Amino acid sequence: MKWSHLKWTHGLLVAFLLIAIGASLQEEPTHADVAETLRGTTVYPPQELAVKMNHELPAHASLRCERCHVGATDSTLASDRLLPTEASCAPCHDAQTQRPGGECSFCHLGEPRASRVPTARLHFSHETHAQTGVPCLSCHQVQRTELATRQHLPTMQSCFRCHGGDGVGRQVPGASSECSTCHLQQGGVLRTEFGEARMLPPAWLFNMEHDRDFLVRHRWVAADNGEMCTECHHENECADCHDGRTRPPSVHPNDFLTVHGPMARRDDTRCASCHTVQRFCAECHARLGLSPMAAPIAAPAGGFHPPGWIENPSGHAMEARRSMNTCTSCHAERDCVVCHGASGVGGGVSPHGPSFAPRCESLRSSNPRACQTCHGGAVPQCP
Amino acid sequence: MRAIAVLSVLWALPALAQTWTSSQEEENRPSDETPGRSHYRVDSNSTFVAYMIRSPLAPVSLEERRFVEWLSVDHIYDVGERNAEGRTRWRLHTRGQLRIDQEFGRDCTRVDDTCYLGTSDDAPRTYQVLTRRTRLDVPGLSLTAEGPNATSVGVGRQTIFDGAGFVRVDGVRIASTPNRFVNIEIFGGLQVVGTSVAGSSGYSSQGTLRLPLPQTLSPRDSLIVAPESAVEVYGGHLRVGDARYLRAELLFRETRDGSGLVARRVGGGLLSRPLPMLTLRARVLHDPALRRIVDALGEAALTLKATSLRVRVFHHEPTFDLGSIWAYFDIIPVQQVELVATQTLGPVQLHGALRGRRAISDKTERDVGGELGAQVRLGAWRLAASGWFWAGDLTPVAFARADVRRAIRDRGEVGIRASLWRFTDPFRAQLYASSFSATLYGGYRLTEYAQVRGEFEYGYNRIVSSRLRGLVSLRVRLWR
Repeated sequence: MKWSHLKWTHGLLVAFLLIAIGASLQEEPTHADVAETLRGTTVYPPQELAVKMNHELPAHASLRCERCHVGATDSTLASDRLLPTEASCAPCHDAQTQRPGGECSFCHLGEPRASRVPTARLHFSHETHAQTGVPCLSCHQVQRTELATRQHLPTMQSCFRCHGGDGVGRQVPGASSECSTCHLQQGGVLRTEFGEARMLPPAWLFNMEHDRDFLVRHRWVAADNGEMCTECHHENECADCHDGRTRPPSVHPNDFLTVHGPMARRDDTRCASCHTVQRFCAECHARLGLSPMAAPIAAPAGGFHPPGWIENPSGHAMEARRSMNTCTSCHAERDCVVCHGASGVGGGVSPHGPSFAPRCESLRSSNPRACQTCHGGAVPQCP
Repeated sequence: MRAIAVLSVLWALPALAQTWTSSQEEENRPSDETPGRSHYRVDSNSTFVAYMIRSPLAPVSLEERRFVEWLSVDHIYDVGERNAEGRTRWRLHTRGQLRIDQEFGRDCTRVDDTCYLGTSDDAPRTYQVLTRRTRLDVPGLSLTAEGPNATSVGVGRQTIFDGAGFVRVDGVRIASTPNRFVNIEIFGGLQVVGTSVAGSSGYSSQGTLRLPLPQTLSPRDSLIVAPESAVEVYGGHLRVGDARYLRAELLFRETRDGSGLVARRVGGGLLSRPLPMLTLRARVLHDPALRRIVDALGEAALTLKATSLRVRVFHHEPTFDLGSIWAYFDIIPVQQVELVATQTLGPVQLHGALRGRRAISDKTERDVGGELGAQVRLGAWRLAASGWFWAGDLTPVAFARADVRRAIRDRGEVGIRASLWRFTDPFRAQLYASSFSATLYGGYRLTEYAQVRGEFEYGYNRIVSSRLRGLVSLRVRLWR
């Protein structure tokens, strides 16, 4: 490498390291404790609860929910703040709330301050559910709970007891199963990207969890439940990835360029899912002198394949039958015709399988081009 | 075209500045789309990539710099009165999109300091002929009407995906679910390939090169490429049943061009979820022209609270355009069986897999493989490590990777990823190596509408020595 390149690359390396070090020294984000990480933060952002409370106390358990959570049955927005205020606690706790001389620490943790409860990233109307007769405890199971936290907010799976459908959960008449009924939308699809994470489907939802295996599975999931994919993804996202030009790093891990040869022989992941082999692959192979189409200046002395490649049964014959895509990543049709073309055109070595003869006539009438390529001249007759 | 690329960047920067000043905090006022009757959205996505490689078999190296810009405009209009849920009976969705893919810089084959162009005017068929400096592709215009019973009628450029794979079509698509037991879809039109209006060649069938042929081309040279041709594709599917018990599917797809039949597929599928935690799936795709099963799958998936287990068997063979000679070669299929498991233990997620693979010919090739990995999220940190291997009659290969990532103020992330490959090529004894690679990457959400991302990769192995790759992308998304 040239010295100028080294300077450029080292400079970039140092810059990235400085950025990484600087970023790591930033103050801790607001969601840090391990317990919070057990439940996703994309729908219910982390809270900072600054009070003590015990729902299990008989004095609390005997109250109606809306006695303290004023306005809950009239609330139509997820952004409505429905936590009890001092005014709702005062009638029973006047001794603790009086000023001066009150006992703030009876309820408040540390210095008295308001709890921080970010708005849930949902559409939700408590009023609609209350009017339908859904009990509060059906979704907020706090009967045996002291302080209610994010852990006691309804989960998507609990919502599917009424808002399910298509074989998942149960759909109660009047309860919509449309994703946009609850989830925020952005430009016609669900909003999935949030500051700290992406909202991903759970495992129980049509087996659509986006785990490591999903890279392989998603074609079958899309074939069975493609309409679900379009709830979160635009069609152009499929095209962007499968066009072979922009892709997530997980598809081809670090330095795939070096090892793609052995992996292409396995066809794992399937090259043809994203690459048109005779264009994308052949283009690069020709540039680098690996293909018969390469510029003479780039072509390697002695060729690419090892000695005995043609004669060895485990050589090109087996490789071609098992991984034809790898052959076509370098070779044009004319290279194969040299040997496999019919006598007078090529070497007369038939590439057809034993069951080809009965199908010959129907294939010839469907598309004669391939026949002409190997057998030459006018459309040949089948044996 | 360079001017277009530059203008695109200049367009994105003022937009970025405008949105920077109008961004809003999300914590207490999550961004939510106003359900107006008519609304539109503009998306812009710009990516710049630069990389350099060396070849193990020739003293050449390759440099490339590429700029890709994607622009899209969507307009949605709700027709009629809104129901109690705020939805109208019909919705019209119009979309136009354009992508510019510009290569510039020293785009050539390089020997030391000398740059050789990939094509020669004197002998166009002697050199590789596929270099293009600018691609203006994936433009599309489509209009879709969505109505009751999940009925939709789409005209224009759209994407179809079903059991036969996905395909982009300039045509018509009609779909409907008249009741919860029946779903039907039919489509037809011209496949989006190089012959389409600035279409992309990326989705052509595997097979012969298709290029516009000059008048002076000799018959011998015509064996390299075939003339470009419009490709027609049509098909559809019918689904009957309830997936909770059993849902069956039949599908059909046929593709034709100027030479004749390109591909024909018929297939079917079964899907059943007899228990909430159990999913059973089977698919088969048959080529009636070649009378071969080209794809088949059987899978059982068990999903418990913190555990998932999948067993699958699949069968696959590569397919080619029936106008190319390779479609008629004696291809052998590959069959693979997998057992995949994931387990969540608190903040830790484990995954593992066992795989077996075989290809039956005069002799049977067999391979076995395994995979193991874990990832944990601790506050703002995310740590992941994984590894897999294959061993047997095919090239043995092994891979291990570690990834450490840290969130930045809920607006971005920075991380480092390192990997080690070990591979051997049985046909070229000199091609065995351990390849090490490390990547520094990061992304940051500048505003609600703009994100920037960068990657810097360094790799080394004894075959190609050092390799560097850098990537910077700026994404600006706008909508109203």
